[in-house]
Amino acid sequence: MANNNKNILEVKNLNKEYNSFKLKDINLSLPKGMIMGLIGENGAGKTTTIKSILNLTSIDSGEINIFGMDMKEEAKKIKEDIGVVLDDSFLSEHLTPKDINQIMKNIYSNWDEDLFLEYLKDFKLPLKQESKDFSSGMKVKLKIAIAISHYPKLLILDEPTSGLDPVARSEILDIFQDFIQDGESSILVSSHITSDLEHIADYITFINDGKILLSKTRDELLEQYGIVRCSKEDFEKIDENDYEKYKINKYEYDVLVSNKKEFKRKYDFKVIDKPTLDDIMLIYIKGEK
Amino acid sequence: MNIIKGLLIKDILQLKSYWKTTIIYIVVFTLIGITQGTSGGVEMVIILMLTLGFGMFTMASFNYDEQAKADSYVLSFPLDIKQVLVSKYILVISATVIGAIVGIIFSIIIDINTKAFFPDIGVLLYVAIGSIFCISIIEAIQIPCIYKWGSEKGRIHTIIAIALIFLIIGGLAIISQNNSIIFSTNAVPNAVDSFLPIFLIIITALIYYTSYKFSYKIYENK
Repeated sequence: MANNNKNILEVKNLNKEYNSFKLKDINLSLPKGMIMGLIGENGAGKTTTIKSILNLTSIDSGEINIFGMDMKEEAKKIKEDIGVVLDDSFLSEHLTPKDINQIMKNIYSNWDEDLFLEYLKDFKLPLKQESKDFSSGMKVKLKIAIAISHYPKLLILDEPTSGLDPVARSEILDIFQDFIQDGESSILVSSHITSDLEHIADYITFINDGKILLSKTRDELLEQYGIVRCSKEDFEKIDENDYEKYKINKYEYDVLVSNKKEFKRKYDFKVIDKPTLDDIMLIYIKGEK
Repeated sequence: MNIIKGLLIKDILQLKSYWKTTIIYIVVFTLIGITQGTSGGVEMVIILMLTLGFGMFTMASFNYDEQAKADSYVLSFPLDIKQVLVSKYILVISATVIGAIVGIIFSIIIDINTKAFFPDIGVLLYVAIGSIFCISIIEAIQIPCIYKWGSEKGRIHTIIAIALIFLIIGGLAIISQNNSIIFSTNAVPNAVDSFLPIFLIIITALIYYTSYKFSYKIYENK
């Protein structure tokens, strides 16, 4: 499956409407060897985007290309090389990892039993225990071990770290970093724990109300964006075109700017804070313009 | 074929907690058979109940899938809806047939043990085919209902559907009785009688096929 395209995943003008929710013109490009984090509040459309990409839900219009192939036409072939972790869907908890190995070696032609057993050992997961007796962290590790034991080129993960303590999250993030080391494999990961993505994601895509608000490299976001904290009087001096959004707090205004260098040159604000992804998300969602 | 095998292994392994219940079920019905052995018609009950029991036990695999919301996860594997459905129908049909075979075996054992009469394999086969046919109607209604409404509501819709079938058949019987319409069994040619098992097998296959088609449409539109 030679794919000379530098992008492992391309989503073009994806639209989907159901009940009162709409995904509108979603466009994404994930290059090889990169991790893209999908962020957004609950119900923003992250899971729907992931399920649309995986062809688990029908789409109204748009194009999804993975490994240079059309997902609609070549779904089975493409899915051989994808590893998936879904937040709300898995196998029965009455199955043991040993059972799952028996199942998966019939499902994936590339399934490596030895590799799976090695991951189980590394993750300290008992082979013959039903997964209903596992902790949340163990369950996530099991899902990840399954997702990576058939040498996928793309991992698609929906909220893989939700409900985990910081130690378990850190271990899992290390696994993701290892996975992309070959420079050929990529990860699309959704999470509302933005601090995780700040550590590992190369690209951040922010979805709100079914639309992509921004999709940039992590460095671009965290280095170029800034938050100006100022009084009402100072805020009124700022041109509307020079900021993205602002949020009124109890004693000050938080103003999000997308190019802090340019802003500093133009205005006399001494302190422009470096934002976290949470800050950016919060001001975009709750802020005004 | 490997993928269908994988899905079948999934269902069989997740049903392992039911194996104990299945063994108890077999033992209970065999004991009933042994204690009622001299009455002669007990083989029919054993075969029917074991066919029903085995078929219905596999329905629990739908519950397990629903509890784990496994549908989306399974569809993220390199497979299509057809393979998912074929594996489910193979599981249910195989279990139903195995139930009938176990029923025949136990009936023979009971007959030999109680020395009631030498077992007539032909009659037992007739009963088994008839039982599979009856159970196939329930299963063929239940599977699409589960895909449409989920396990719990699907069961209620199945009961309603089966009750409706009985009402229609009962109603027709009452109407024919009131209008003095008598169906004479003598009018049925002997040839049809001897072809009845084959006829039932064909009808059973058609019932399952129609059910599969309905399930496919429902699953596709989900």
